[in-house]
Amino acid sequence: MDGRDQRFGDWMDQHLTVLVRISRAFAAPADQPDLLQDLMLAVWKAAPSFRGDSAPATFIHRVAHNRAISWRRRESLRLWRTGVVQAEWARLITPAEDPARTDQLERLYAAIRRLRPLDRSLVVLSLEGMTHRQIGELHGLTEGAVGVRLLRARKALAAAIEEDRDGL
Amino acid sequence: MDFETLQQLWDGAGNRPDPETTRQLTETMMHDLKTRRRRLALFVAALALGLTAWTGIAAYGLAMQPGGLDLSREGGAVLLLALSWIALAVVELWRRRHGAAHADPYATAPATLRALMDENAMARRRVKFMAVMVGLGLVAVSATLVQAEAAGRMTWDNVASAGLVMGLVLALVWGAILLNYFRRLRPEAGRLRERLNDYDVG
Repeated sequence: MDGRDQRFGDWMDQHLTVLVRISRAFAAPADQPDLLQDLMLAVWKAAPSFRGDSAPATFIHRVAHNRAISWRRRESLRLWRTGVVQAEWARLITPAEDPARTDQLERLYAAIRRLRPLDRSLVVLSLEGMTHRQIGELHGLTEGAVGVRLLRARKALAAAIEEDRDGL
Repeated sequence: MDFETLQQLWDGAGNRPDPETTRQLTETMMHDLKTRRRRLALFVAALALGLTAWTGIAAYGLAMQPGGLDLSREGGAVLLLALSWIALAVVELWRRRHGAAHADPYATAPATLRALMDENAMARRRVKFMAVMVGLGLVAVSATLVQAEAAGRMTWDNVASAGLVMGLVLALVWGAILLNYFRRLRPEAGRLRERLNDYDVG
């Protein structure tokens, strides 16, 4: 196993959660395994460029959000598509013990998917606990601009949730 | 609906993948990546070997067997050989690019989008180039077949059958190129522009 594979393996053990969440936030349910596979491939490709001056989680967020924002469904029909994730997806997503929580989470993801890609990214990064500064560095925006856009994105999210007849 | 509730939902156990499946998926993915890299390398090596043998035979015919291959009458075969080498070079370039490290994972999202737009523009130019190459391939195949018949290596029946098969293959390749251009690359350019515009709004 070479250095890249070793690093990728270690990262996925600890941070695959991030990629799964981004897949659920950016792709329609049927396409989520394809996006996850694309994100994993993007991280594997980027692994040798990691400089170590930030936490791996920050780096993975950066690579994955860059990929997710430009992703679209049919891209995964490329030759490289393996179907590995497709086979494991059902076992990967474990429902919460409380079915109501699972339902709420699904509705939250559905609401996030209704936002524009940039707003989706801002909301997900914020939910992942990243600071405005970190989000700004990723998106090339000032902290102030992130604050303003995030506020607007949260309002849009709230509206999207409200649109759902039953709400959360 | 307040953001704190959403945050609790987000951080909850139901929003984490199963650890055992995570481990298995990572292992399977890495194994799959290795297998695919190996298969692709073998495929390119086999193509290179075949083309080297073909080139060797042609060179032997030219150098050691005077009259074995008459370039003035059978130049189409050489053109076809050259086109095959170019196609192999493109496949190898694609293989290396696929395994190469990410261009700049530290770039901001808008910079990445701009880089993708440049890449898309280059891909569209490449597709146009490939379309021209396929057109040239069609000319080369036609010339080779006509010359082979003139040199007495093939009958007109064989020329017609081979021409039909090769023509169909090249037409299919051309169709695939057109599909790639109009169904994937052009819409992708528009989508990337739209994503980038999001950064300019407000």
